[in-house]
Amino acid sequence: MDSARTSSSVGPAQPDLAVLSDEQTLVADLKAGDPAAYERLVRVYGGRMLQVARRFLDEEDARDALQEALVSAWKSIDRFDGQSKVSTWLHRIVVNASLMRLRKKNTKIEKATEALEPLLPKYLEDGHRADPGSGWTETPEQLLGRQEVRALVRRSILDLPESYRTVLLLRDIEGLSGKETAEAMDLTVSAVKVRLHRARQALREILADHLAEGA
Amino acid sequence: MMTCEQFIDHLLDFDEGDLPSETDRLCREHSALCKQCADYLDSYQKTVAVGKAAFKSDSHGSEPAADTVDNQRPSAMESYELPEELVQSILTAAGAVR
Ligand SMILES: [Zn+2]
Repeated sequence: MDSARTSSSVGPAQPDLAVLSDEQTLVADLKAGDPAAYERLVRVYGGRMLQVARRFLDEEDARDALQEALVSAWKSIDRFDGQSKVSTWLHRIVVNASLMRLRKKNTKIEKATEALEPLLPKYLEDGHRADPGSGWTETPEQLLGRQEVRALVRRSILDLPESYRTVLLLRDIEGLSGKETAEAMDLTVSAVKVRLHRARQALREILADHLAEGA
Repeated sequence: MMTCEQFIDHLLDFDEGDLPSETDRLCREHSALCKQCADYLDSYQKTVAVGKAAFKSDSHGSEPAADTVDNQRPSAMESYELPEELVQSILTAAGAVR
């Protein structure tokens, strides 16, 4: 089975008529309680869903979250109304399952803030930046055209302290709104904003070491 | 004039056009007059743009997490096919074994 191609529709992707009609058949079979359809769902979408879970969790927890997500999808297929694509629906389910796992682990935000501190801008008494550095000459398209930059960006995001990484992933990568992120993480909208801003600043600082002019 | 620190604190809202008009005007004024902050804004926006795109498949359709540079996370190098034992475990957990 060409699962790599088919499953690439998990997350935001282009609509594809063949995939859509496959999806309708799959959903109908799932709603009829066909175990073979469930196996198809697992094999076609599971790999990409696992990749999403891995952004939030280590390998063992990511696999547990994937299993929880797929079992929950199987059990709640009757609530799938066909308004979104199956891939989008599954994406949301695996993100939620990952967040539930994270919450159980109960990381300390104080430690995360401490770890992030060195990556935030420092200011002089007069409010100017102490360490301005230089500008970035390349455009985002040029930067993304370089495989090593894409890898650096991914690694840098995944290496952020967990509570910052999670907010950045939800807002900037998984495409949740501020309100949705706040609800998912049990935070206020303004707390989400503060964390997202700090996470972006920290990421900017890490990347600046590699991407700033003359770096 | 707003300080650099105040400007950078407002950056997320400024970038998203979410500031009250007077604060927005002060931010515009600051970035027009302060090269360091204009550079910071530019690199901040680039950071957001590359961050948003970095996990998407590239134009060749290759899988981003499966790249070999990313060797700090060996798990990320596995393919998109699930390990068979994981598939079986997921099938069993759902009570959907044939
Ligand atoms: Zn300034």
